[in-house]
Amino acid sequence: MSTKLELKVNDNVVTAERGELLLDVLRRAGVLVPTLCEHPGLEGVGSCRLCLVEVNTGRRSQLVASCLYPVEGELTVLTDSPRVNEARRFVLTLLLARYSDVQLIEELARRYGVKPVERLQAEPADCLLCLRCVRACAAQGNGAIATCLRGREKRVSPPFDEPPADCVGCGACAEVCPLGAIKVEEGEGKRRIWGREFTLVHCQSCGEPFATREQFDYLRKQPPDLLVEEELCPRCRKLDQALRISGSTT
Amino acid sequence: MLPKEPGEKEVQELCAGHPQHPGELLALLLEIQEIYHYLPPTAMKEVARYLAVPESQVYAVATFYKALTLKPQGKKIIRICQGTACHLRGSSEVLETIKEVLGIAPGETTTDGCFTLETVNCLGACALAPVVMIGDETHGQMTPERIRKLLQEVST
Ligand code: SF4
Ligand code: FES
Ligand code: FES
Repeated sequence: MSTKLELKVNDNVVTAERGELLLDVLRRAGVLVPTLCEHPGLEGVGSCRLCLVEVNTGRRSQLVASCLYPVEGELTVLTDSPRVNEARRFVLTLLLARYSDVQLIEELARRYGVKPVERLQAEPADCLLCLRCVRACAAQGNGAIATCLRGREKRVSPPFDEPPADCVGCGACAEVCPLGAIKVEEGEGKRRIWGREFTLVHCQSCGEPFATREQFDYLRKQPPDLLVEEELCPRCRKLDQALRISGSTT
Repeated sequence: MLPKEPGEKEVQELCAGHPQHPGELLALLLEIQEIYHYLPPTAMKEVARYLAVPESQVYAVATFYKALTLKPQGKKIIRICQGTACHLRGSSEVLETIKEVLGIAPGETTTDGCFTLETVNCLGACALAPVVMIGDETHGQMTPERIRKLLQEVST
């Protein structure tokens, strides 16, 4: 069985690897599909439903979340059909009702011509529950945050709603949050996040603060091949390597 | 007296009765709930350590299920029905009386740790409305007078 497949995407022919996620295929083909919960470095959860597209396997046609859909055979894909548009606009209408103040959602709504619906009154919220932050933290091996409670009360929090013991202050959660809902403060050699304060480590070469003491402590506990000997910021590390390669270490 | 905080030893012994597998999380939490009537944070942390799951995961599960609670519960749980049938037959006055006699609101526990008050929506015994459950016992056709007497009986 060949691993290359041919898909028909909105009248164009696109090739894909068997098992590849449909969203990745579409992106490579330059087809714009809106997404919120998806993040290239993290395993998909399919919680926002914004990436819905219509696929036809020859037997039937259905709406699928492209960020979770592995391409396993020949397909016809529509990313702009009436059915897709209706579903997408419905999702955006609901999102707009709750996140009316959030710029990203406003922009998406405008792009797809979605207007606020008067009778949909939702409590405003600043978190989408897309779980990017939770997944990023778990992917780093820390798992310092998760969702707690459920239904309408569900939210992301550190355990026991206390400053999380497992947090190393890397800030990955805030970095991947599409709405900027996680607050990180930096100043006077400290980083504050989730109610904890971390001491920043300064680059031994340029003196810029770039990571926390706890991040290094965490790395030291990992297998030796991940060991960081010198505390250099990414820029100085590259420079250092370049100099070593060219042999002029002076 | 409020249920005591379990010692580290006690929780360790409880844990030892379960395989050291993440799938045991819910079973362990239920067992702790059963014994202490709530989930003390120290116990949850010990469970996380024993099963090698992140504390955040333990907290996620502990707050997800209605059968688990993080607040200490009284020895007896008083559930007063606020369902439609009970409401029409005057459960609000019964609730007011309980609040007055025990000095607590729904969701709270008396300072002596004897009672926790909860409201529920239909206990499935509408013919007996208004209904109050004290522990495992169901009491029907409650009135402010009758609940006052009943509370006196169970308190002694
Ligand atoms: S805090 Fe941000 S990343 Fe985390 S679930 Fe909410 S919106 Fe997503
Ligand atoms: S991006 Fe696919 S469901 Fe959110
Ligand atoms: S409404 Fe109270 S038991 Fe049904």
